[in-house]
Amino acid sequence: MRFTNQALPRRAVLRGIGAAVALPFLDAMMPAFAARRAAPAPVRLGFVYVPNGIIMDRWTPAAEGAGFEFAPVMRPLEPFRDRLLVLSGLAQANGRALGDGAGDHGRAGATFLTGVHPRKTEGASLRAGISADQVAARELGRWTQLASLEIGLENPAFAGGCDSGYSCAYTNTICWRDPVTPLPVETNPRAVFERLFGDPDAADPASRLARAREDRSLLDFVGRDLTRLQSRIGAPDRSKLDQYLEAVRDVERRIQNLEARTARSPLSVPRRPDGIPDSFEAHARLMIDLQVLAFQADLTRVVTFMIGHEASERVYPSLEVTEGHHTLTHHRGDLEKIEKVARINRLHVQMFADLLQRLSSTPDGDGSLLDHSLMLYGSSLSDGNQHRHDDLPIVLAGGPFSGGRHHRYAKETPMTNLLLTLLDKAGVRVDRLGDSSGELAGLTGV
Amino acid sequence: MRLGPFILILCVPWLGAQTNSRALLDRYCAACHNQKLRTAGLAFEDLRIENVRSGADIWERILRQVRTGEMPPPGMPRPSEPVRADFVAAVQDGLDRAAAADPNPGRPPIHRLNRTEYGNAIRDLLGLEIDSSALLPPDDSGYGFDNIADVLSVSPALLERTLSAARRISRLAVSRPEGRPSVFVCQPVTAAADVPCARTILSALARRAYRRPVTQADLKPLLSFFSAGRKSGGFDRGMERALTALLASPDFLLRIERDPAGSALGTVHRISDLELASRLSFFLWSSIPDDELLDLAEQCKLRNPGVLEHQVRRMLDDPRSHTLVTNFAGQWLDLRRLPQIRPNTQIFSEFDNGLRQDFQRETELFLESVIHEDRSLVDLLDADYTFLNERLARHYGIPGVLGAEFRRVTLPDTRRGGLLGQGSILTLTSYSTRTSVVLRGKWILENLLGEPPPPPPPDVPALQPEASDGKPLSVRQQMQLHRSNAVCASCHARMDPLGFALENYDGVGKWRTDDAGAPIDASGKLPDGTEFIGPAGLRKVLVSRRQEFIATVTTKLLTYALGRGLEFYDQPAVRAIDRTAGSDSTFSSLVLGIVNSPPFQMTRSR
Repeated sequence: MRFTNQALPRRAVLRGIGAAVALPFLDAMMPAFAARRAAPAPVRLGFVYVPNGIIMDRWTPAAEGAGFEFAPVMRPLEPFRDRLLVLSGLAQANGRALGDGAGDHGRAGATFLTGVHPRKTEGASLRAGISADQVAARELGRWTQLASLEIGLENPAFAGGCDSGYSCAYTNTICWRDPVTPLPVETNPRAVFERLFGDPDAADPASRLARAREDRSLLDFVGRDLTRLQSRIGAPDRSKLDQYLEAVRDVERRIQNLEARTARSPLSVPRRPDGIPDSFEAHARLMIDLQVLAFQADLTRVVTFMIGHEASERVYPSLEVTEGHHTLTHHRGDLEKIEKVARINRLHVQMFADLLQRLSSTPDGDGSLLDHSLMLYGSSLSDGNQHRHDDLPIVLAGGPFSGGRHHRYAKETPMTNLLLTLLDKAGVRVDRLGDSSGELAGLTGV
Repeated sequence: MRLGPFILILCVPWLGAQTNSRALLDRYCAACHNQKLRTAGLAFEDLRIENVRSGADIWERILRQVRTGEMPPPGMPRPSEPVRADFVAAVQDGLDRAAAADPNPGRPPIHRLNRTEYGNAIRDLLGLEIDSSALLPPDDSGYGFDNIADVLSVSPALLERTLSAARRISRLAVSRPEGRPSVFVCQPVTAAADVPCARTILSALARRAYRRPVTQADLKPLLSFFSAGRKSGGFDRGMERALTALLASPDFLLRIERDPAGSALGTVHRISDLELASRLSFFLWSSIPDDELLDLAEQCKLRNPGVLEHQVRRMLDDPRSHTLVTNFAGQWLDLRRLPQIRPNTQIFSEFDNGLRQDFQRETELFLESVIHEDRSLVDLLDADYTFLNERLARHYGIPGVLGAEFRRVTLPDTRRGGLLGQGSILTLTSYSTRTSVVLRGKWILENLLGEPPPPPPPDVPALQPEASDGKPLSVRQQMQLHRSNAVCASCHARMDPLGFALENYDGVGKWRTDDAGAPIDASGKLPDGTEFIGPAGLRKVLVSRRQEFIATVTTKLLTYALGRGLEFYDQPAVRAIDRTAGSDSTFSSLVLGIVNSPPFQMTRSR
């Protein structure tokens, strides 16, 4: 069940050309995964984040229950009506100031998947909470080469560009491995590719195995060095080395899994993407290709995809929006600005729709990848103009849910209840996450 | 007992000031900041100025608020100016004495090399120019800089990238013919010479990379990588593998400062000469120390009289110090954002990538001239020269500059001068379609005067484009109306006048006398009554506030030098550095002040 590089179309997907050429490539990949079909398909979790809130009156369906009408911003999702749930009313109360003053964007990013009020600091004693994706990664990651994948379309903000009094770490990522370790989000498709397939210079399985062995001995060395350093320093510094050692173990495990799978059924390495494409849309397509590929090849079961980070000031020339996104969201009622933000919101939703499209058209086990994926889309602010942390815009798609409904929860229902429920559906049992108070009702038909 | 008379002389005025200070607190502050109300969580009854050491954090806050005039708040009785000045001087004096007697230098956490430092270290270690931004993920930042140890974390993704970077760099280092002799100081001719030669090369490299003398324990694992590689692919392959290990080693990637054996928790001590060498090189070069620094440190001569100052000057003269322009000033002044700026070219048709690069070049050359000619930092505010090529000169309306290359140009009039006349800063602080007095004012307060305004509340009321009688309002009139809202007024009254003075520059820094037909009104008045007109007037005001400006540069530079945020206990050091540097502070005087300061020279055990 192996195939070679030559079998792949030369202009395969991962060159940034776009979705049109992506599908043949994925089809070509299929034989390599055929062996896995016998086993029941694993559950995947995907978290897709958009920054700065959404123009809510163009997002929220007017009616509740089934048969609702899609509001303009959400309209690109209409083809997936039956596969999705629109959830209104959820809140991230810990994103509010709670005495800490300004910095809603910093807190919004840090609470979205953690539900924990982040410590206000520009650097010293950084602290939030473990994020839902990482809770999942601890469990689901045991079976895959990568415990989780954190990718995005926007480079980290520059120093000085972050929210008042909060380190950029709070806005650059929504993923926290533990309360003190934010996980960087990779924006370069080429780097994502290398995490999935290893160093592409080692083309054949034998040399990839040799490379893996070398990496293992290198990690042994790094681990021993860290242990030696650790014995000679004070307690506060030791935690940094602990973090380092954790990373060493994590990478060791990844390499072991890579070795095991290479020995089992060699995965041919497709062409490596060149880097970050100039156009935002092409960049998005490439990153969508990669996450679909990662799910399909079961290289990971947990992916977080940040379309932008909080307080993003991206401009959207293709939408004729030349002011920064965040600046525009403080529209103060100006209709022209609201219109522009809505255009941005809709483009982001379109990207999610593209992702769903790709998942639904990719066979997996007895159905499609979308059947076996729980995909969450949303922002940690609703009204960006007023920095509201309640009534968050959330869509859940895929998986076993009976979709086609808009459900409104009681005010202030913790969003962490949804995250807890999602984790549960993915087979990850935890009692609490951040400010959760229990599982969420209303996700029936499972 | 011999000190008796001195204490007497010093203490008599000091005692008087103490009494007045207590009276001032009681009279102007205690109405809100008492045990009962605890406004902002503060109660002043127990504060004793005789003992500023306890409660120094609160005293520093009081000092800042009173010095900047933030407190007492508007509408409450305020002390007269001489009384306020006396109070500030007395509190400052008390805090500075206490700190001098018993300094708290703080403690920087373990520092992972950030990606700029990594790239520079590879350049200096192996003579290889690499694009570290393509090899390593970007770093998080805090306190305005990306070299803050606290947020330089280690994730699995980062570790993987460092391993793969190590592999690629060592492959490159072994395979390239030129430059190789400087690293590979020997080339074995017989198989028997392989290991001794490898040992020689690796010892030298590890010393530089680990920034300390190398032990047998350091070499042993590197040599075993060498042997494993040599078995499969000869000497070069062995060196490649050993080099990969060296570059992946935590000894290279982490800067760890150790407490002397047996030092009790929380005690203060001087860092070792080797640690000092690293602090110096990462501060001034964003890279590893060179052999000269390491030699001096190993011989414990770095702190000999004159040596440290000589080394600092040598390092500032070295081209590696260019990183102070790109890395330090690039972050301090926001210049790193320049490549992301997208002025609307339908409105600013003259703007293109070429102009953007010219902006950047001008400011870099200008900063470099102030640093390398060791000019007064005040020149950053009002220098009468800049660096231009023909295109930029034309953009600025300055005649007589021909050709594409940049050269120093004495400015012909007072329209421009200093950073605030440069297209880079003026474009950075504009929206894509128009100027912003708020952004410009905020930039000045934050980066030049060190008084960042708090962010606006999220749901600020919209500007009213027209008056209640329906007549359209100019931006200035709209802003005036906006300031009539008390919540907005307190900050905008400080920001907007500064920005208005720069209205003669359009959104890409071109001089203008009217905006869409309406004449520019570049006059401004600050809350303290200071009035000024246009950029030249603003420059005068800023120069008159040079003390605040120098203190701001010191704060930023010390943050960058230490790789940590400044705490209340660092403030006496900031003041001492400024005092030593004097009112005409040059860049080198500030750097030397920092290098000799307790937070740079010392550390606290933990």
